[in-house]
Amino acid sequence: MAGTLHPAAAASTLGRVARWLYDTDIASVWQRDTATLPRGFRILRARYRDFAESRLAPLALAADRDPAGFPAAATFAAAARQGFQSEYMPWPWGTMRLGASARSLVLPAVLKAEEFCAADAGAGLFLLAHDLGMAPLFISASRPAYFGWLARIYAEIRAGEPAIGAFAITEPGAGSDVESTEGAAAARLSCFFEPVPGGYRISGRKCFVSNGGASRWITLFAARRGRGLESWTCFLLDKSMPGLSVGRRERKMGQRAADASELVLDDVFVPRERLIGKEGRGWAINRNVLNFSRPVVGAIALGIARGAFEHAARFCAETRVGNRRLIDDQDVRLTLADMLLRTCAMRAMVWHAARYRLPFQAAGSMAKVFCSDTAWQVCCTAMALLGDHGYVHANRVEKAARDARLTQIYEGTNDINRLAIFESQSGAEFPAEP
Amino acid sequence: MRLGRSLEPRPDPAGRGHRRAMHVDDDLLGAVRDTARRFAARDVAPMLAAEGRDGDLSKVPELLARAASIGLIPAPGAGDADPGAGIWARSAGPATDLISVALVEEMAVACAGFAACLHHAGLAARDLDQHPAGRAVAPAIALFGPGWRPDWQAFLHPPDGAASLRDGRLNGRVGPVHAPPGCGAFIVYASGPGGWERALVMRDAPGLAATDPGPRTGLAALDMVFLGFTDVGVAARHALGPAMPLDYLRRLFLGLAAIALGNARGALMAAERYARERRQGGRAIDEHPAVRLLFGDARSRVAAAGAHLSAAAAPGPDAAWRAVAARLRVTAQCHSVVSDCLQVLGGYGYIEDYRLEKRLRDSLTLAGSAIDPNALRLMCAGAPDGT
Repeated sequence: MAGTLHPAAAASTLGRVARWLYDTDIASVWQRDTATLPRGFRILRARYRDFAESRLAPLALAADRDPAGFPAAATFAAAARQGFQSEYMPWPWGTMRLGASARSLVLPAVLKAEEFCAADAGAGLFLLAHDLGMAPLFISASRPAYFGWLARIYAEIRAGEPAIGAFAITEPGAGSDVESTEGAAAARLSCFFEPVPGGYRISGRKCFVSNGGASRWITLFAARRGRGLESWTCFLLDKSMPGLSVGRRERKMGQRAADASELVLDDVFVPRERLIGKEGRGWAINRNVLNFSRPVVGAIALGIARGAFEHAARFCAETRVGNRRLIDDQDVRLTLADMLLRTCAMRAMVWHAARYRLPFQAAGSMAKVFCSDTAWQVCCTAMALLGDHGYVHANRVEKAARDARLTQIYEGTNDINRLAIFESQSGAEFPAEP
Repeated sequence: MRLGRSLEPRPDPAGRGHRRAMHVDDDLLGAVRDTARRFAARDVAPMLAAEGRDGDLSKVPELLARAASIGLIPAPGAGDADPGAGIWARSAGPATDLISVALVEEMAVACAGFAACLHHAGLAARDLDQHPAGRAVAPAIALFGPGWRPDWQAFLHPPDGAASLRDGRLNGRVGPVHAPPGCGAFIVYASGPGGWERALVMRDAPGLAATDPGPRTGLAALDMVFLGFTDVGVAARHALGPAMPLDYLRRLFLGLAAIALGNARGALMAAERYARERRQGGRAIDEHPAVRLLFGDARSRVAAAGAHLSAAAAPGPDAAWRAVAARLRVTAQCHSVVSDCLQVLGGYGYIEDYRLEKRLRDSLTLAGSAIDPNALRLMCAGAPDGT
């Protein structure tokens, strides 16, 4: 009796047109969502997933336990061979798909972030932080930066070199200040440049730099000595520069495959041609980089949550309680369904933000805040659902929870992003008093 | 100070009714808390100050011995001069729950993992009260099994999937078992002819396979094992008689809630200190409205959790149900407090230096410890007679 009440069985009793109108296909959410994408993005999403499952997932637990043992160069090279590390320039320099990017500049990045981070957010961050480091070279729209430096770095990548990028903005006493308008006005900066013949000299420290240790190329922001963030300027540094050294590698709770390191600059000479954009344009470049990167953080969170859901569902399907599977308990199904719908809501949010022609502040921050908060909830739910098995490393959901927590912090804490949402929308929604 | 018989509850001078007779005055609980605080500051803090993800865990057995020497854990052996009035000691009488909760909570302000060690050691010591095996075996209790999902009925009558004790032979699987380091035996709750029964099984008993599931999120000071029993012989002197899983459940849950509360209080203190000392956007972090909102919320949650836990630990009817409800709600409230406190520190909260990430890992571990929240919710929905 129950069999005939199932949607597929019920549909079979209908006429041809009615059956055509009634979708009872057995397909995963991933398949259904992918089918909504334009063809180029469909192919791309599948390629990102194949790579993540074959190259990143097998390394995830070991890299989490022993980050120093993570094969960063080999992983980067493998991703580069797939064309995933040079997506800001089209052929012949890079691997940007012009047709797809014409529709959305951010969608390829969010598709990549979700797939990579569903497999391992640590390795995912490592690969994505390279793109973040290269973003100022693209976003500054500076010809020398784009056709000079970015093309050169991509040539190194094509040649199989670990030309890994990093993005350095955070300073020890000014974490959130460099990510918001309000804090910026009173920021206590500690990294300064001074013009000298032929270029600049930079001194100071940057902290929490993702890929700070692993990178060869770093886009770094510094203020002119004696001035504030309005003088911020972007420079392209490389590790061979005298005076530039890597300080401590932070011992993080999660996303451990990617290092977060301190950079120490002791009177580093930076030639004039390493200026990205013009002097004093750094603050604007930084703000727009964040517009591009925050939807990607939302996608990182989405990937982590999806991974947690998949691991939890698999555990519940494979675990037997008495003579039945755990997944057959109604309360377990309710909980899993709740996790699934939350991840679907996250994806809707991220894809929506990515479908704007250009990313903008409110859209990026909304995606980041919503997805990171929701991912944390989903991962905590996954852990709780597994009970005592939830906090066992081998079951992977606890790693997902630790990984997810960072998405509420980096790229601006969520409160900073909430203020950014309001700042961005207030002009349109709540005009200032005359 | 040594905790001892002096901590037995004093007669209520007003002598008003049953609940009042069980009253433990504030001075007494204050003395208990002071003892725990001094121990935490003098002995536990140096362990945490050491490098490493969870401090120097090699010091835990020594700390446990020191805690036992001042009566924080009862001495369970027959002939022990002073059974103590420590965590879950029978000699504390009807005030046991309140005293134990206070001790565990204060210890967790310093370190949730070590508090969990004391809690589980105390639970086992109580179960082995005055048994000849005594403290020498430092046991841990093994009740929950991978083959059954807890509900009220399971604590009244052994469910399918519980370990089986028949004719002096023990079979089945139990776990995970949380055991203080150095644990030499397990008090196994198993299905016997008359219902739940207990058996003391040495760790090296033939037929006992203990499996370590590997790295875990938090509460790292505590060991965790899955046990498999294949026709393990239980000598008559190690058959401990009928078990009362509901009593164990009540104490276990009150203690877990107390650890969560202490952990959250510790996180709040650390975050408030950080927010006073550090500046952002030209002013102290704790002057930012966003942070004040967060602290206001966290403080109110801690206060509510404390009140809930005190009410749950007070003597009276529905004690097991109240413990289940406290385990569910206090742990959830405190988890959000710890997470919010970590957020105040931003990136610094996420790295090991300030120990906030350790508190969050401990909190994540507590959330699913022993019983998953869904099972707790189902138990809260109603309790049958006899619970």
